[in-house]
Amino acid sequence: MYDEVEMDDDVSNVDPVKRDIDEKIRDLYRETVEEGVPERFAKMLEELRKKEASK
Amino acid sequence: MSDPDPRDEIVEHLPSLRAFARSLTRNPARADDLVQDALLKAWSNIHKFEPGTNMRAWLFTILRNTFYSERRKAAREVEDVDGAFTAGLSEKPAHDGRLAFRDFAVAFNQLSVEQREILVLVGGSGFSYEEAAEMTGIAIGTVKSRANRGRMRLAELMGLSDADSLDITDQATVAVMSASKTAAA
Repeated sequence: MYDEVEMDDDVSNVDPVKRDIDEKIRDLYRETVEEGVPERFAKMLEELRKKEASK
Repeated sequence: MSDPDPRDEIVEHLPSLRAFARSLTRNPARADDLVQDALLKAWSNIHKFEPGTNMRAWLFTILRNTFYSERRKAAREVEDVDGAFTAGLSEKPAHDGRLAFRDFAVAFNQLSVEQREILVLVGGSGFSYEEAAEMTGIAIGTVKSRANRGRMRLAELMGLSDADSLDITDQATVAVMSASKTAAA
């Protein structure tokens, strides 16, 4: 477990390794964002709308 | 003319909510269940959303709170460390950069949930440190610390650099850190 020592600076902009890591984190995130949303969510929102409308 | 319904905006944020959920749970199926729970809460509490404010941050905060609430309730956490964020990822060519993409995803999953959360908020989702601090209720210095510790741990897991560099002892970083301490004093 790491100590929660506060640091005031983002060092990613000065360290090429950390910059590389940040790029990969963005890639990893983007992979999921771009994979498309399962139909279940559209259906769920539609159901919620119908319930709302019937009130 | 009536005001636009903020619920219409929710659907736009589903992809990023799923990515955030996946980084927290490390399991695609659990992540989608978490998104569903968060959506239901958001829907029923939409009157608490202030129009004109950041809907994405509001939804992320609900999802995060839901995750930690469910986590506390669970007797133990069962995590799919190997599947996780990597499930469903496409294979990227081995030559695209220093890090093998899939290896990186596996390493990422080995971070603590607190580190993954902050790195995805500021690194993946593009929130500022200030926004991440507000969303998580954590001091901004701690948010930055977690982000940097997470990056260092990832570098360590990937064997990317020698210990000196990872311990933030390179000259440029030391200069920045020293300047900060001086300014804070």
